[in-house]
Amino acid sequence: MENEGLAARLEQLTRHWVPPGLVILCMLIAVLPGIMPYWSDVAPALALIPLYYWSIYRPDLIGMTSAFLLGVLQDMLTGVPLGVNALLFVLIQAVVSGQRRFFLAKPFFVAWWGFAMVIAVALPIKYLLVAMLYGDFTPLSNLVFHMLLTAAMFPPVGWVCARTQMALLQDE
Amino acid sequence: MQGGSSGRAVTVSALFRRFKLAALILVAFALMLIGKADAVLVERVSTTLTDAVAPMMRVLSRPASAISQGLEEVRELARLREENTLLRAENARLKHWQMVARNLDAENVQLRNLLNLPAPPQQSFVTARVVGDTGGAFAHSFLVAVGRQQGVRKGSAVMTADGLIGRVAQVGFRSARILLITDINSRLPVQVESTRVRALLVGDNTEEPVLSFIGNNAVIRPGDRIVTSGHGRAFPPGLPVGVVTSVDAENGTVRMQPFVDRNRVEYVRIVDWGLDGILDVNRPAPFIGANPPAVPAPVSEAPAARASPPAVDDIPVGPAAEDIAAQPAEP
Repeated sequence: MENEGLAARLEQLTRHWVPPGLVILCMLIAVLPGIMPYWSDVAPALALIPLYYWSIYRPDLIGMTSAFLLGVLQDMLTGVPLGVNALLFVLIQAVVSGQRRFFLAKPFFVAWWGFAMVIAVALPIKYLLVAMLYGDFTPLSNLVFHMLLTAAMFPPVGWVCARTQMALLQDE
Repeated sequence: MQGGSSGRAVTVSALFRRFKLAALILVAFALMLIGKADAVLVERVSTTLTDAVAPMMRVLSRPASAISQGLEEVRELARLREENTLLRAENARLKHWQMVARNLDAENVQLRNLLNLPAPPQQSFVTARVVGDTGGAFAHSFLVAVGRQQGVRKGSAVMTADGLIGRVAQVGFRSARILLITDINSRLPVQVESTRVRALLVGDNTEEPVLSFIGNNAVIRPGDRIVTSGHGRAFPPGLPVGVVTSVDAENGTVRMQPFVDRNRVEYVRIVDWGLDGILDVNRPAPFIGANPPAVPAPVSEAPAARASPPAVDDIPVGPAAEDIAAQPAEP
């Protein structure tokens, strides 16, 4: 009986680690070298997709503090000034989870459109923060391609998030 | 009554949420300030993290590398015959150059002996696989799965068979971050190989960094080869860096294409010449009020490396000046 309780708790713990785990996995995939030519110049901010997804569907599993810590992790991994992604992740989590009722039970395209809106605001903020901290502007064209590629990656990554939610978290 | 208490709970929860959001935003800004003020601390924390994820990245990068290798092989198969002809021609040319190099090498040794010039610094190197290409649109850096454990030192040059690609900016125990010469924070003292015109190679996160601080009367043309100048004692002189691609006469912008295509790099060689140069963190800070350097300080540091005190007191000391000083006094 006690063993069963422990197993159930372990299973629950594992499930609760799935959403942040998916964000971390996306972070790592985004920085893998040589996925395709010129990938590294405009590599999409893949981690924003699961962050956005879970902020709508399971904000209880990635709260503001988790988003902040994941952002710090992203900062350290990618070598951009510390705090930039942390700020971005917190803002995205707070805004999207605040507006989640609008997206719930809506078609996929609405979620995609919402994500495009979020990155259209968030990534220029990141661009300006980085420019301020570096004291110089990085090429604007890279930012535009980075945004377009990030938006384009929403369907496959969003699909993985949806499948994960259905497989692991639906019965909660 | 119950509705009132639940309404109050919602208000308290919303207030708490707002307070938490404001606090986290403040902490994020505080982190940005700390990153600027205490780069050493941030670097230490950051390398601990990269040490932890490097093994994971190594495992993850294998399938990605296999996929890209497969695609490359298909592409190469398509133009095998054409490439074979090109390689034959190149081989003939290289054989000629090998002969020239051998002659020059022998002559160089003789002349060095005649002049009593000390031999150039000995190098030691570590070969590493690139496991992360980080930063995307915002930074140009690589992560490699070797670190202090394998003898990697901060400031070492990072090369491929084609030329210089960057330098080691952060070293962890089993991982290191390489700042590429195209990164917006990279500053590298270089010179034109044929004319010895000096310049500072300034990265701007594009594929073609800019040559700055070129002398007024210097002439640089597209096609000129750029090599390291050895100033700042960070790298030895003569490492191939790139070739000048464009010279804008109107605004004086000179751009250079690095010899190394970062999109094709799988392995890098981290070379240590034992030169501490500007990255020697143990060197005491320069005396305030000391005479300024004879030339404008050619090197500024990346954020990761900014922590080291900029030893501007002896930046102009190049190998040539050092070698002259090393000669015995005349009898």
